Amino acid sequence: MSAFVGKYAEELIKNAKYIATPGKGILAADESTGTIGKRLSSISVENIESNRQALRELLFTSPNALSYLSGVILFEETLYQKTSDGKPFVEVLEENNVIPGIKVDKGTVEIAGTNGETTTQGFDSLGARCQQYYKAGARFAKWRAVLKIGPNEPSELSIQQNAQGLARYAIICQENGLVPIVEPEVLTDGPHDIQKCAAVTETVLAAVYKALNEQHVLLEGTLLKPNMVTPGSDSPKVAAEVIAQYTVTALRRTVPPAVPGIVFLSGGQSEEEATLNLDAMNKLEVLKPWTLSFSFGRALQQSTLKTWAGKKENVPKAQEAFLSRCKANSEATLGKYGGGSAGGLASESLFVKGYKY
Amino acid sequence: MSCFLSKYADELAKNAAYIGTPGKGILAADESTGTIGKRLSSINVENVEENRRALRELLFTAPGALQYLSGVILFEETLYQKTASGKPFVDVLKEVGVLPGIKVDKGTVELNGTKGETFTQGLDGLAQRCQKYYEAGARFAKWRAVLKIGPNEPSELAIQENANGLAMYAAICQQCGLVPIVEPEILVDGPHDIKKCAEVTERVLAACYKSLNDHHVMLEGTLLKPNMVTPGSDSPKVAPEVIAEYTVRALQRTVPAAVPAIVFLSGGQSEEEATLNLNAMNKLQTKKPWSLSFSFGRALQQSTLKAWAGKEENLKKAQDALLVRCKSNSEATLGTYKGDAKLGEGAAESLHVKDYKY
Repeated sequence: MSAFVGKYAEELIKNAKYIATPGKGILAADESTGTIGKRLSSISVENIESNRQALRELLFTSPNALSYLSGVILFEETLYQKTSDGKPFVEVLEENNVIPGIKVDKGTVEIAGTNGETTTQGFDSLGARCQQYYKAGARFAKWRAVLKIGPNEPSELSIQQNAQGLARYAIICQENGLVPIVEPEVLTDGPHDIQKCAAVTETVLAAVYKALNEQHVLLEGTLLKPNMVTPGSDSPKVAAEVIAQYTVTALRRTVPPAVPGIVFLSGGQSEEEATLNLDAMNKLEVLKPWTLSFSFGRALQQSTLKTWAGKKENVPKAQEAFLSRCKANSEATLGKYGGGSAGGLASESLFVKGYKY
Repeated sequence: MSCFLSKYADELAKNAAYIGTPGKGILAADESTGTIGKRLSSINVENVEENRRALRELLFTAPGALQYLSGVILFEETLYQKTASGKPFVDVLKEVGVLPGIKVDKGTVELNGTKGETFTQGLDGLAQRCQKYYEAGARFAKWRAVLKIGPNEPSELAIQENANGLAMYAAICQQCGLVPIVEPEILVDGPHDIKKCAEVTERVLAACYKSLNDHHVMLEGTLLKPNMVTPGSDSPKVAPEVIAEYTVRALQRTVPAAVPAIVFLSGGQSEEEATLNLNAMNKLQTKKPWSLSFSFGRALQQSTLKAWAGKEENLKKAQDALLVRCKSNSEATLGTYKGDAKLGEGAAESLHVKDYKY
């Protein structure tokens, strides 16, 4: 094959396939310390380790919620944290058949000479770090590349840098037993229409899969985490069915069938929007050789966070809110979402211009 | 979309999907004058226009055979030829629901500085030619790029040049209403094993689909005509199930689901081998979002040619032979071929010719 088939090949394929189980998806709980700080401050909670631990414990011990998840992406600190009775989070997840994942990139830096385009850092000692994470129980990884739409963006340079970066990260993960989630996020920021987003998404995805092939990545042991294809944030909204049509068409044109699952990012979409769009895609009567699921951060946690507000007495109610979003998205992966699990909080847009994770 | 939607977009998608109809496939009858000459001389028939016309009439009027075909690829001369009673071949085909196609490349030339690697000519004036062919009734086109496996082959240069050429040809075809068949043939010549063939095939196909994306080609209005993944011609043979597994996996890793159908070339395989391999692929229980069919030249015509031997009195025997192969391959596209076809003389004969020049 042109793919590298190392000692972890079978395990990678098995884990990627499991994460892509219909009816399940991923909770992206890998906010860096800085980013989670913004979330906590929005509910007036201090950004200290015990509060970060309390929030994640709330999520991972929500009764029945884990049955709708196949994976949770963690930040490094969280990978080594425990519940208040001393049980490692990794064990809590594993006991509930949820695979622990780990964010391995170190954020973005600007590419000199471009108009604010970026590339992603994190290669130094990446192999060694992956080995450590594997020992700690992680079985998949995530690396976020970011592209923007503008009059001259994304540039060929940005596309190439980010595609090659994703491919290099992916092969290093596979060498060390971690399924790489490949995330080439095309930001929604801008006045462009949905056709423009589709064109850019297709160009970016084509470059990504060419790079993955060049670097011998075993596609059966990867997952894709793309943006949905939508109008820009400064453009009028369109129906979920339209988003579904453009998104699935873009993926059918670029993502090889060997990829077992596609787990969408939610970008700035509200909880309810993200669920409705995912549901519409799964209702679409067209051939889709990969499962379509979720890897949501804000779109799974928003109402949970607000309900919790940092108060111990709010935990059960917050956990119910979390369960409700998990269940809704699980139904969406099966095209069976009936709507109506949205409280007012669930419809609130989570879009922040120029969002930095 | 990143693809360019020509005014023919809907028609292209419809025709490409039709060609991929399960149970149907393509007869590649587009041998250039030089190449058909070799076939004719192998049965002691003179290479004159009347004989070329007679052979194609034999094929296109074979009773019962055309129901198993969705398309026939023609050489330019044939596109304008008629039956003995004066009916244009194009009409004969259209009347039975077979789309006429046209070979538009002008053969290969060597790439300087490489070890016998080639690129394909034919881009000059291609749009004008395509428009003419569309007017004459053609609805799809074919362009053959050739790569070889060697110690240092295929080189990155050969891969890029051929992928780029295929993409430019494809874009032009779509602007003119012809569905482009994209054919990146990796020759079977060599002592390499099946794993090497798989590796090269995946690399080449990945480059092709990147180029097609770069050139804004609408994948829903294209077809792919690849080699099957097999051991080299100087290597021991393997079972059809093995060929099927390696081939389908290579395609899963590189061919987007938007491509409606994959129509294999037969290379130097015998008629029976090609059918058995295609059948094994269609029996495989795995993800196949495109239909898997045939675009066979030699592997459909070999026993027909031998049965005909250029003699009018052999017409029925020859047409029966063609029907047998068409029906067998039709069943192979459905995974129902039982291997019990009445094998014509030569059906099991290898058709491999080293370093074959079309």
